[in-house]
Amino acid sequence: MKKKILAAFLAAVSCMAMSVTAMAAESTQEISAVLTADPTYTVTIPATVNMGNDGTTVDVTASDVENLADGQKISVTIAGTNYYRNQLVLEADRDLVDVNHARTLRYQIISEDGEVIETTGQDTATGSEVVSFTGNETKQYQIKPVIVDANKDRLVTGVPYTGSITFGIELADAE
Amino acid sequence: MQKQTGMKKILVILIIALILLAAAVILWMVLRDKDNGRNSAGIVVSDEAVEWNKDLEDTSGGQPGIKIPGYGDITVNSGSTTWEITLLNPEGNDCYFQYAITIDDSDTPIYESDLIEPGKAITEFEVSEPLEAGDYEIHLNISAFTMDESLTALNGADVKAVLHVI
Repeated sequence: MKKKILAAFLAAVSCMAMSVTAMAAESTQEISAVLTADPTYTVTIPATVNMGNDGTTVDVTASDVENLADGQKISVTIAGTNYYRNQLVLEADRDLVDVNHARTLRYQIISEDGEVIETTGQDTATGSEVVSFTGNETKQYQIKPVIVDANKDRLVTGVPYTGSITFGIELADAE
Repeated sequence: MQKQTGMKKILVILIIALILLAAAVILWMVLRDKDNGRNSAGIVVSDEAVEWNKDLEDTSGGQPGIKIPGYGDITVNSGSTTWEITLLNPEGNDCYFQYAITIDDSDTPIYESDLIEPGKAITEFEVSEPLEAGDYEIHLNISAFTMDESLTALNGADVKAVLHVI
């Protein structure tokens, strides 16, 4: 009797083991891999906003461009500036300018398409495209100080007016 | 006998003084090293950044400026706070980079790096909160600073890309 019970027990264990093996063989294993996202292009922007009285021409270069899809471009826009409300304004050091002179100086950016980008206090230049690329190439834009009769005499010569721009860089649909 | 005991005491005091002096010198050196790279604003040079040696053909013609890396689509795992994105300061730049990562229209960064030297990159980092599966807009906000003590802010970039969370 004992032998029969033992045999039945062993048979049951064998069946369970086989079904587990069968289930393991049938189950699928999901494999996923997320690779490290490396840069796919490089855009060289100017280090500073730097110009003389007549303004200057600035180079922007796209290089190392990989796998840019048809109909896509690298768009470089104005994303902001260091001045209040992202205005296109340069500032002079407070200690170098007395109250009778202008401590700020507005400037314009003229995009590669000839569009004049500027701000006058209430508006914004954020999102305006400066240049765009479809491959490895160099494009230019112009940057000019706004010197008019109204502020000409209030600006201080020899004092640096400085500021910085944050450029927006992204892949966008080419029009 | 008494003279010998006196000499022993002086010797012990001298040894203790020497040990204390050595400890003070070591402590000073450790603290000095710790302060290196930290400016008055409390910004430090990242010790997570590693040399980034992948070949990038320099087709800029040696143009001066700041090289900003751009990204195509980026994919990360849902529910994970460890992201593998190469936050690079390309070799040849003459400035530090600091990355702040924001998602969609949020102004609150989910990750902020320390300063990254030219030629180095952070390839793995922890974000403050995991994201659910879906597509997002990722902003890699790059602030650039001069490499002198003043750490003057230079022009920077907001590099936008599509983030797939799977």
